[in-house]
Amino acid sequence: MTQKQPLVTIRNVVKRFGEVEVLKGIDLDVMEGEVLCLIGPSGSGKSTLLRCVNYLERADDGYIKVDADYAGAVVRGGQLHEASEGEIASYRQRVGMVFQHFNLFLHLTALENVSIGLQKVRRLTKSDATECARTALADVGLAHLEHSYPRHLSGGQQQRVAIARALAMEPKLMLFDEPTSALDPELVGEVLTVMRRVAERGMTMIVVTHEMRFARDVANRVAFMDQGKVVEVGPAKQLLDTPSSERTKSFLTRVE
Amino acid sequence: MTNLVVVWNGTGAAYQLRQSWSTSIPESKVGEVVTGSTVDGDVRDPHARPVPRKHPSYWLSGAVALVIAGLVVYSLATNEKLQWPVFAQYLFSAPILQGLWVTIQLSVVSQVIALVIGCVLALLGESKNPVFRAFVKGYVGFFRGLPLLVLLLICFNAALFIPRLGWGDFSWDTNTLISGFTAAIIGLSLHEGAFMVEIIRAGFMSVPPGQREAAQSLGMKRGLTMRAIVIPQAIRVIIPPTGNQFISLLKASSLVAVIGGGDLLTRAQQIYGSNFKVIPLLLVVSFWYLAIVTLATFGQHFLEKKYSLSAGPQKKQTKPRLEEASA
Ligand SMILES: Nc1ncnc2c1ncn2[C@@H]1O[C@H](COP(=O)(O)OP(=O)(O)O)[C@@H](O)[C@H]1O
Ligand SMILES: [Mg+2]
Repeated sequence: MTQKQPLVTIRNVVKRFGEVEVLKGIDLDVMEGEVLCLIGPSGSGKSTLLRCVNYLERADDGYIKVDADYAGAVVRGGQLHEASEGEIASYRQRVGMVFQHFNLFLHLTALENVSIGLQKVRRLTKSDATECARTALADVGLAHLEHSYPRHLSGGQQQRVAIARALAMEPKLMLFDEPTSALDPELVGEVLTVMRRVAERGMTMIVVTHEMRFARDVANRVAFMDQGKVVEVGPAKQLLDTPSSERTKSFLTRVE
Repeated sequence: MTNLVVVWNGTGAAYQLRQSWSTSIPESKVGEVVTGSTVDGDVRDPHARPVPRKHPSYWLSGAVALVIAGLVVYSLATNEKLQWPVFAQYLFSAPILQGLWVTIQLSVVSQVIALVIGCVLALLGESKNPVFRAFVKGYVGFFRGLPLLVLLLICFNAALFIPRLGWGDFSWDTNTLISGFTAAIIGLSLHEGAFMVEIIRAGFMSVPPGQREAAQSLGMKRGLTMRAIVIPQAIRVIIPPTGNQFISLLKASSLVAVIGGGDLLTRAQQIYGSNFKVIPLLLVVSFWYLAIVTLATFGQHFLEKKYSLSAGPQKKQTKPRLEEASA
């Protein structure tokens, strides 16, 4: 995989909840087609960072740029201004997100979960949206369950529908927040397989995970976060095998 | 051939699979594998199952209740003071049926307006705009705090403090606009609306936040998120308390009798005001209230059933827990 331009630029991102500073100035670049795994202890701010990238949280300082667009902001007269609702929505269309708890729409079937965004946001006709959604579901191996409601699907199946739902919007960047943490161990594999395929097709991905094997095999680079800071970033194997920081070392011995 | 294992249960009694329940088994037999059947005095048929217990007390209490109910009905039916012939005479009389119709209209129209008020204000309450949120809080606080009777009287007497409605050439005398009926509708709607706001907001809040976040992450705006994701899921939480509210509105609408709203109770009062047959007419009123409330309760059960499983119409019945064909 050839790496080109940075697709994602994260600069000095600070996030506070009340008095608590959860992100203390994050700087990260993600190249186009690159898979970046974010690892780190619970509470270190990994989810918060992903949510800032998708503008589900608003950073208190700094900025995040994906391709030509800024998260929650637009450039006017050489200055960043808070974006309007429509601008935020169209930014989010280009950034797909997969949640730890799947968050499938509970009142919709698997197929409708995938097609609703195509129909209502991308404004495809109903039949086009359904057809695209079918293809996307087939792609994650769930064509035969298109009429099932989320409550009738296993966790692994739900997460695959959620991945199909995000991919169907044809985003430039996919964010995964611990996509396998809520799954029974025997269901983790099917979700990781799907994610591997997405990566192989050249999708740019930021993945928060505790699956060190996935990080080693699939990620181009791994970033270790602790207490709201990126402690170190590096090529996957190098960071996982010969970490330079003591904190990374002790974290890795604890999880492996 | 069935092999039955006598299982030690630690108390001296033992269970045998598919055999009589909790029979005492000598300790020497515990743990023994038995073939076919077993211990003396026990069931031989391996397919035996316990005969259900009889419940003579149910029958006894049922009989007592029937006797008491019979006595009550008898004493009511033969009580001269209740004047059943008068009851029968007025039950389907024109003024009573007109009053009943007005009661139904008042309740349905007020409920519909209240629903609109509730939806609009609940959405405003979700808004980022602090002025809207404060307005919603104020509305709910005011109209939920004011007793309905007082509110109805204020609406009816609005002309005393707002003599004319409208501006300039387009204004009308309040008294000609606001009859007892319109005052009743306004009062009931404003009052009911305050409760509907709270019910609908609770419905919105019952939808897990992850649903909105997923919708937003697909690029849905707030309005679309509400329409396509939140409201369809909130409906099943909103319906049961709305049904209860409607039933209490049906009954509370009788308060409009104080402003001559023309409802069921108003009509009955007008009749017994002239012929003094108070009790039979109140019985007529009670009969009709019970009838429409019962009807409304059935309607509520129907709606609850319809929306309990999935919000929105269930197009296809899905098979429970489908397993994947491919590993
Ligand atoms: N909405 C919130 N309000 C207040 N504190 C929060 C909120 N979300 C996260 N936090 C806090 O921010 C810190 C980082 O959380 P998070 O980003 O979820 O960490 P991670 O995903 O690495 O486990 C935690 O201490 C958490 O308690
Ligand atoms: Mg997290």
